[in-house]
Amino acid sequence: MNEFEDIEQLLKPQCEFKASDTLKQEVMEKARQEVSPRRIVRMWPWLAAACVIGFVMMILMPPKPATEEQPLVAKIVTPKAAETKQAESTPEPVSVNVETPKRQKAKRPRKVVKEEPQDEPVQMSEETRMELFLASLNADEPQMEDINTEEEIRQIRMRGERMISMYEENDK
Amino acid sequence: MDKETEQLLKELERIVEKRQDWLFRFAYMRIGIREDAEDVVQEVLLRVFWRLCEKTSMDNVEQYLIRAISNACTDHSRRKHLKIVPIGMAEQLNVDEDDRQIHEEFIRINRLLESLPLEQSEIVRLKCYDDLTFKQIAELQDIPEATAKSRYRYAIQHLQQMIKKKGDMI
Repeated sequence: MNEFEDIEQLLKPQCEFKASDTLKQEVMEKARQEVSPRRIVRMWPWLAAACVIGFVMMILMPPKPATEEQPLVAKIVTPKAAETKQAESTPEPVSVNVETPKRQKAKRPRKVVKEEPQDEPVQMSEETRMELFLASLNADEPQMEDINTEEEIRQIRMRGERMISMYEENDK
Repeated sequence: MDKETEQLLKELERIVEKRQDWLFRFAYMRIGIREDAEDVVQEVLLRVFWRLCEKTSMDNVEQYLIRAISNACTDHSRRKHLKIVPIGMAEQLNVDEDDRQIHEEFIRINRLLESLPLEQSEIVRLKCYDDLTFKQIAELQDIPEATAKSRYRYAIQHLQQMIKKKGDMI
């Protein structure tokens, strides 16, 4: 039994264990940091406010006036010299293309329909000639909603008069 | 800082003053390096403080401390991959002059217990060196108290035989 106690005595601590003096200070300091209220700069409310302001500005801003920035451009297409000779035999109207903002956006190149030269004057009846004339008027006639200026109206009127005079000459 | 927090800090201070050396000895006898042992002790004490703040039930602070330091030492050995430090390596460590005595003590105890199985050596350490009762040891190790007692008895008998053999050889 004594031997048993001797062994136990042998296994008891033989010296004193001392933790560092700084250990307690460090623990207390860290504990204080844990409980002290933290000042957190929260960014998300500011970001949300900026987004809302931007959205409101987009809604309240007046729309851009499209007509001021993109004025109407009238493009007069005149037939070439070779074609003018043929025009004497067959009436070729001077086409006026009025480019509206819609058309400018589309940027579709206009197809110039070339009429094949007629070797012989075709004898047509009065009715067919009238139909052709009306058809030619409608072909390149600008739409009424596109005609805005007095200049355009004047050009259209001149063209009409020219067509009538050509028609009368043909009759003679 | 409100009164409740100040009270908690005072409570922590009391625990630190009372138990820091015991905790340090417990950790040092298993780790063998002062800095690491103190880190572990600090971690355990802060864990106790969080528990106090969260008002998590700690029926017995002493028992919680024993379990916490034991688990923290095990975790430390796992993290550092120091499952078993050979005593030869521990002797070669450069130790401060102030820590020489405790380091020699660490080597002496580990030399005595190195021939024992791990579960027996740990029970001897807990009983003799850390002054725990068999009840506390049984709770910590999750074993019946009788098992703890029998393991301790086997360990002491084994040590007796070992010392006798050495004496005969001398």
